[in-house]
Formats: sequence, structure tokens, C-alpha cells
Amino acid sequence: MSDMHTTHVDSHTKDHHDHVHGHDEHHVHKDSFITKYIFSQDHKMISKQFLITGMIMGFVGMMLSMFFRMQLGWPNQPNPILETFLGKWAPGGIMDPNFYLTAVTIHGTIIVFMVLTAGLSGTFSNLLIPLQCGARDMAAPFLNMLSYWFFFISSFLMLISLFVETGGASGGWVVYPPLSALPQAAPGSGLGMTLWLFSIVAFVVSVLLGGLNYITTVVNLRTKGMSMTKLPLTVWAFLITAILALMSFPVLLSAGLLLIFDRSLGTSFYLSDIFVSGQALEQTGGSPILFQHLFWFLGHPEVYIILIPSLGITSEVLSVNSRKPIFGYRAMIASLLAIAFLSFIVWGHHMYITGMNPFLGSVFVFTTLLIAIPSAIKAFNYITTLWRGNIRFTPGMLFAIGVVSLFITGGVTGLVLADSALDVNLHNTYFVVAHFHIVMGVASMFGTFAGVYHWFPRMFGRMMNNKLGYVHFWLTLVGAYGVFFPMHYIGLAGVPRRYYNYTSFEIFQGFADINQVISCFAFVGGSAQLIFFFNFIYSAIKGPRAPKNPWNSTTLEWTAPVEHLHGNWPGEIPTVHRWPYDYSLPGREEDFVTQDTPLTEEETKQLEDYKHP
Amino acid sequence: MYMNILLILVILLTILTSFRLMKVFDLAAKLRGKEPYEISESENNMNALLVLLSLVGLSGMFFFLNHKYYHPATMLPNASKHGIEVDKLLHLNFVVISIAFLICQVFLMWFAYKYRYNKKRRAAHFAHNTKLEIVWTVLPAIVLVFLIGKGLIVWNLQMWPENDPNKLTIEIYSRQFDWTARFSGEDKTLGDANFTMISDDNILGVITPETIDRQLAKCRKDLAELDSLLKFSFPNKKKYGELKTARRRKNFQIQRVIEFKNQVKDKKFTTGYDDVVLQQEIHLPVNRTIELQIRSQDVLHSVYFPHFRVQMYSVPGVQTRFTFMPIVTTAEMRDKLGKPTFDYLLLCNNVCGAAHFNMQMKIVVDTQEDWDKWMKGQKTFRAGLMPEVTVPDSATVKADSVPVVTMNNPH
Repeated sequence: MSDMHTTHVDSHTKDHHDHVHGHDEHHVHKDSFITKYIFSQDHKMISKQFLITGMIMGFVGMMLSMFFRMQLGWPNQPNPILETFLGKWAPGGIMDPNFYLTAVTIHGTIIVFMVLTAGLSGTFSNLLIPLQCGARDMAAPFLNMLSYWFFFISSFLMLISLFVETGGASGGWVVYPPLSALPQAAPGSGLGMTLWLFSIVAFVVSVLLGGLNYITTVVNLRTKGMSMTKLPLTVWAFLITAILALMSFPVLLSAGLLLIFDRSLGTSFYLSDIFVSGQALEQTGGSPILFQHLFWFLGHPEVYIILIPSLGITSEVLSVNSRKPIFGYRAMIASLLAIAFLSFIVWGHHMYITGMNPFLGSVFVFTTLLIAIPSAIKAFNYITTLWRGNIRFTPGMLFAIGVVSLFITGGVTGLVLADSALDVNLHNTYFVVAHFHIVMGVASMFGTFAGVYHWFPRMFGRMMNNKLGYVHFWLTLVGAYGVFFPMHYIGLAGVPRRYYNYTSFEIFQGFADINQVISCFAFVGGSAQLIFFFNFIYSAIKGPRAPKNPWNSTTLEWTAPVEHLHGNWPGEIPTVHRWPYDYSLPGREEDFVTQDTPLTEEETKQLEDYKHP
Repeated sequence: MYMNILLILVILLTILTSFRLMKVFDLAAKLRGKEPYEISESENNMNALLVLLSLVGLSGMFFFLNHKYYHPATMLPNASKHGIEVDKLLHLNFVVISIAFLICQVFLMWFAYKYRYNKKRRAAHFAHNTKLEIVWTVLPAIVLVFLIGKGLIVWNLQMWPENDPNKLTIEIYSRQFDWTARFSGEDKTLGDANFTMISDDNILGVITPETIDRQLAKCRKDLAELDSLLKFSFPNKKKYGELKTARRRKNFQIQRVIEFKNQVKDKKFTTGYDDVVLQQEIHLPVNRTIELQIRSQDVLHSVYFPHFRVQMYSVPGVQTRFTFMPIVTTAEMRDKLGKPTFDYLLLCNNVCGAAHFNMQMKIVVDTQEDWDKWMKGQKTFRAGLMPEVTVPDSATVKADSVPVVTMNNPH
């Protein structure tokens, strides 16, 4: 049976060849080192810049988590490693409580924004949108370059904030005021917090410039024949992510700006009736809850800004390596759209117990639980994609299967937390930590890894080492589940998060051993990343040369030559004739048909029959 | 120092050696005629087997942890009336999600294993099936409607409790880094309080005629001190700025306190006299509705009584509330758990600064008789005020004069 999706032809798609052909002229000029590697306007180079910066930031974020896992596993025990790395923040090898908070704050911020937003979207949107849509570059290459450099500034500010005398921001990655607004309340709320805010401002600019580009490119620069329903699910995911980002990040900017005003201009948007360090502040009439509304209006879509690209990558990698079309292509798009829409009307589920009207809470319970439906559809579709496939376990494929597994595990616990009545007792406990780390943190990280392993040949023209990839995957999977699965049970026992230690509570003493086990799993998972870093660097420099289409994939990026050209295709841009999932078509020798392969006569006839029965 | 250099050298050497080793492996693979992207059948099968094994591992971990931690003995025992419903709901949810979790993982990993690559087989071109898709859209939707309904019933029970005329109103007050509680006393009304009235011996800023006078005197003394510091201590630029800010804030505070003073005639401010203010430890009567009125002095905190299934943020500038009823006394719970040192606790569950992790208060649930006895033994707010009010100092003499209006005065 040949599926009807395979033979859609869209006659409305415009021909963009003429628009973008001008890029070829650029190619004549010899790029200097600076224009090629630093201030590059080529989407492929920018994508690598995002990836490598994201990896460096990821390393910092991971090291911070290793430090606080040492503290949580063995509280109050002198640890020479901590003293070596942290110096005055761990006098005698015992971590300073303020640094502990800074570590969790900066870990969260770096992983959420720098790694899983910029590192993931920035890398793969940049790499894949032009290549999979069939465009010579992004719609606005200069803005694209600016997007990276704003991200760079943002990362730089975040890093140096760790080194200021009073320490980095320490109010949790959510930086709730008044704590974050009052330097008197915590040392980290001084210069560290200022740098955090400016870093985020730069970050929002970066995201907006990037997002504008992604949307414009997908909408305007698709090649001939590439209708929206012939786009690979990756591009759909990046498009929806970019729309979410454009709509939600400005709200974070306004939340941050108002916080900056409160901190330095004496306004009272978030401050009211505060008495701190012996002084009654004049600011009255503001509300800290306002910040939470603004923050989570970004914060919740942000979860999906992180997750959706990962799901898009998973769709593609699963399909390619199962040698099967993705199951329910249209349902996948529809559920992405549904998730994206719903993600804007659920932010209140982070605030059930902040004093928000309980009736409003009920509304948010309803909308939040609705998200489970499109999410379930996605999970079922992934599973069905594997069914009766012919599965090749590349490292990328393993990570993609990992994404689905984690998405299920972390997704179901979301049902518990969405229930306001249960959230009362689970809010801010380790149950929450377990939930979001699995479903958003680790799942998206796995999606990123899947993407890196899968598109590494496209990025560097070389192959990554599979064996190291397998070791990396299995250790990371064991580490991830070993760390976060037991945390659910600690959370059910009411253990609060962001505690420096639990030694002063008798009721939590039973969890000292499990905290050590978790820390050990964290070290296993952490060291596994070193294998990845090594594999990445080695393969980028010395790895074996990759063929043009190593995975026998159908999408356009594999029709471009291995050598990077500014403009992607040497001659004309390929024309698209079919959808991206023509795997294992019956009656063909090859088990894949690339998108630029014209329809056979039989297929054309079938299409005609379908259109005019 | 030398150790560190040695360490760095070792790391560098390891990396270099690994590079060389990798190159050797790559060359070996090339000699065997294996393409760099090729995955051998044995590799593929091994990974398929590992996927199956990880299914065993994952479900094994799930059952082990459930066995070890998901039962009443290790989970938080419940001690409140609405908590019974909450726990039932949690259990229901837990059962539903456990089933969903196991089914999906089994299918996912079993399929991955079963349909591993085989040269002889070709994958099915199976792209969609409307019937199947409708089934798995509707099925979760039905389960969800059921869960939402159940959840909202319990939520309403928690948040809109019946009004109990016999309820006990307690104020829970948070600041970095301790808790203060205030019982309303015999008049069942908490006295007014304001943040400008806070002082070392009046943590909550309770307003009574006496505290107003004392606060005014103290503030004026502080202001005089600030003025003299500004004039005679030759502060550097930073210190000067700080002093100016402090002076401006002090003036603002004085204005507010004077406003309260002017209201004494109408409002009297006597309801605070019989309030009982406590730190470290409070007692609650069993089987009586307790209404918490929650305020914060400085930053966000969260009032978290894990055993009572109670949690509510304490927000500066906003009063929040939570109503519940403890149903198990501390003594009963100690017997039940077999832990003679067990105590209910109030924790802070929203990060509030360096000592956030150690911000606790002991809660004792007594029988009504024991609680009455305990309550009688507590000092009222007025009794706490008495000794100091009777000793006037030079500052109180000036208390009624109009303050000097200085620059930056908000009024």
C-alpha cells in the first residue's frame, strides 16, 4: 500500500531560486579567517558556533551540578576536590551555603537557557532549517550572526557572574523577587544578580533575532515543491519553537526590566511592605506575585521551547533508523501545535500555592491536564513508528529512543503535579526536581545528543565513533535514570529542594544513603559526558570522512555535497517532489526515496486518483 | 601546586594517548573494509539486547523503589483531615501513571528489540491509521477527565473549607531565617500589624498604643544618630550614600508611625494586647479547624507543613491563608510510628537565602485539654511589653513633637 502523503504536490509553492542565487557571488570572495570562523554569516558555521558554545556552557553547568551533588551526598565533610575548584567558596573543602545556592541557580540558568535553548535550537534550527527547506542560507544572515554574538555576550556575562566577589545570583533560576531584588537579603543578589539580569537581556535579544530568522526562512525560503506538508518534522518543530520563543521571551524581558528598575531605580513593581536588615523600605504597593506571572508566562512555554526541537529531532532520527515513515505525520504536527498553544495558558500551575485565587488554580488544572492528550499522541506515534520497522541502532537512534522513554517517564509524573490538590504537598519538593529533569532536562539533552550524532557528518563532514557513542549513551542513560528516578520517592516523602543539607531534620535522615547513591549515579553520568566531549573533538578533527548520505536518509540536507559551500548546493537547489518519509516504499529496491526524486508515473496516477476520484 | 601541575600533565597525556589509540582503531576498521558509518550486525544485536535489558532494569528499579519507599511507613504519615482525601487522590494518580508508564515502556523497548535490523526483512510502509489514532486520543482524554474531576473535588475541599465558628486563627510570620507564630487570644482577633512597626522586641510589628510610642522614640533616636554620623563621621562616598538612604527610609518610617499614632483615637489598637507571640515551638489543638494567616517580613518563603498536607507561600505585602484540621496528636503519631522523638515540623519551602535549609519550627499537636493548659501558660503580647514601657528614656520625652521634615521626605 502506498501512502497518499507520499505523493502530494503543491503547485502554489513559489520558486525562490532567483531570490537566493545572489549568494553564490559571495562565494567568489575569499573568506578571511575572521569572516569565516568568527563573524561568520553562514548558517552552518553559526550552527557550529552555537553548538560549541553550548557545549562549553553545558560543561560548566554540569560541573556545578557535580559540586552540589558532592555537597548533597556527603554534607559537612571536607572534600579536597571542592576546595581545589571553588577556593574561597569551599573553605577547608566545605561548601559555603551561599555558593550552594549560586551553584543550583547558575546550573539551572545555564542548562535551561544557554544549553537547551540556544545550544539546541540555535544549533539545529540554524543547521537544518535552510538545508531541509532547500534554502541557500537564512533569510537574514547578518541578524543570524548577531543572534550568535548576543548569545556569546550573554554566556560570557553569566560565566563572569560566577567570579564576582559577592558570588553569582543565588535565588534559584526563577530569581523570584524580593530575594533577587534586595542585595541586603542575600550576597548573590548584588552584582551577581545584576550580571544575571544583563545576561538574560542579551539572551532574549539573541533568541528574538534567531527566532525571526527561523520563521522567515521557513515561511519564505522553501524550495520549489516544498509545501508545508512536505517539511520534515524537525523543521516543523523548529518553526513552532521559534514562534513560541518570539511570543514568550519578550515577557521575560519585561519581567527582567521591571526587576532592574526595582533594583536600581527605587520603583516598586514587585516590592511591598518589606523590612530588611533593620530598615523599612519605602517601596509599597508592588506584588512579588506579578513577577511570577510574568516569569512563568515565559517559563512554561520555555519548557516546550526546550522540548519541542528535541521531539522534532526524535521524529526524524526514529523514522530514518527504523527505515519507516514516521507514524501519523499530520497528527504529529497537530499535536505539536496543540502543545504549543496550550503551553501559553498553563503557566499558573507553577503558582497554585502562591496565594493565587484557587478558582484560577482550577482553570489551570484543566488546561494543564489537557496537554497530556497531545503528548500521549506523540508518545504512541513514536512507539508505533518502531513497530514493524527494521531498526538500526546508531548512537543517534539510541538517544532518540531514550528521548521517548524519558518523555513517558517524566510525562506521567506531570499528571500528578498538574493536580493542584496534590501539588500543595509536592510543590518545590524533589518530586518536582525529578519530574522536570527527566521530561525536560534529560529528555531534551538526549534529543540534542541524538541530533549531534545524527547530523555530525553533515556538520563536520566526518563520522563520530560509534563505539564511544554507545558507551556514552548507556552510561548516560544509567546515570540519568539512576539520578532522577529515586528522586520521585524522596519528593513523595516531602523533602524540599534547594536545601544545602538535610542533617538538621530527623524526618529526612532516612534519605541520607539514597542521596549518596544518587550522587554516585550523577558522577557516572557526568564522566560519561567526558567521553562525548572527547569523541566530538577527536571526530571533528580526525574522524573518518563521511559519505554524502551516511544514514540513507530522504531529506534534502543529505543531497548537498559534504564540503561546506556558502549557498549549500553548487548548482540549482533541488526541487522537492515528495514528503520526507518515503522509507521502505513497496516495489522499490532501495528502502528510501529522497525528497528530490520525481514521482514515477504510477505514483502520479495514484495522486490524480486521490485528488479526483 | 606541584600536585596540580602533575594532574594537568596526566590529563593531557591521557587525552593525547586516546587520540592516538582512536586513530589506530579507525585504521584497523578501514583495513577490515568496514565503512565508518556501518554498524555491524553483532553491534546492532548487542544494542537491541541492551535495550531489552534496560527495560528489565527500569521496571526492576521501579518495583524495588516502590517496595522500599512507596508505603505508609516511609512516606510522610498524614495528620490532617483533608490529607486523607489528598492521599487517596495521590494513590489513585500513582496507580494510573504507573500503569501508563509500564505499558508504554514495555511496548517501546520490546518493539525496539523485536524489530532490530535484519538483512532479510524490510520495514513496513505504515504511515497512519485513523482508527488507532482516534482510540489513543480518546482513551487518555477519558482518563484525564476522570482525574481532573477527582482532583478538583479535593482541591475545592482544601481551598474552600466550610466556615467553622470555632476555628482557631493563627498568624504564621516568616523572615530570614525563622518563623514566628501569633495566636489571637481570647478576643479571637489578631491585632493590627505593620512592617514599619517592626523592632527587635516586636518582630511582627504589632500595633498597640505602647508600641507606637516606643517605635516613634526609637526611630527618632535612630534618625538623630544617622544625622550625626552624616555630619561628623566624614563618610566616604559609598558610606555617605548608604547613610542618606538609611535616613530617607527612617523618615518614611517615622511618617507611617505617626499616621498610626493619629489613628489611635479612632481605632484604639487594643486587639493586639491578648495576642500570644511565639517562636521555636507552637502547640495546636487536635480536631479543631485552624486558619493560618500568613505574612512575610522580607522575602518570599513558603509555609510547608508536610504532615498536614499544607503549603502556602508567604508573600511580603500580601496576606495568604490556609485552613486545615490536625487529626492526630503528636503523642498518637509517636506511638503509631514507634518513634518516640517524632515531631511535626514547619519548614520553609521556597528558597529565601543562605540559611533557608534550616528554617524550621516545631509543631506539637495536643488534645484540647492539654492545649488549653499550654495556652494558659503563655505570656500575652501586653504582658511582654510591660516592663519596658514603664521605663521612659530621654527619647520618649520628645515622642509627641513633630518630626523635623528633611529633604527626600516622601510626604
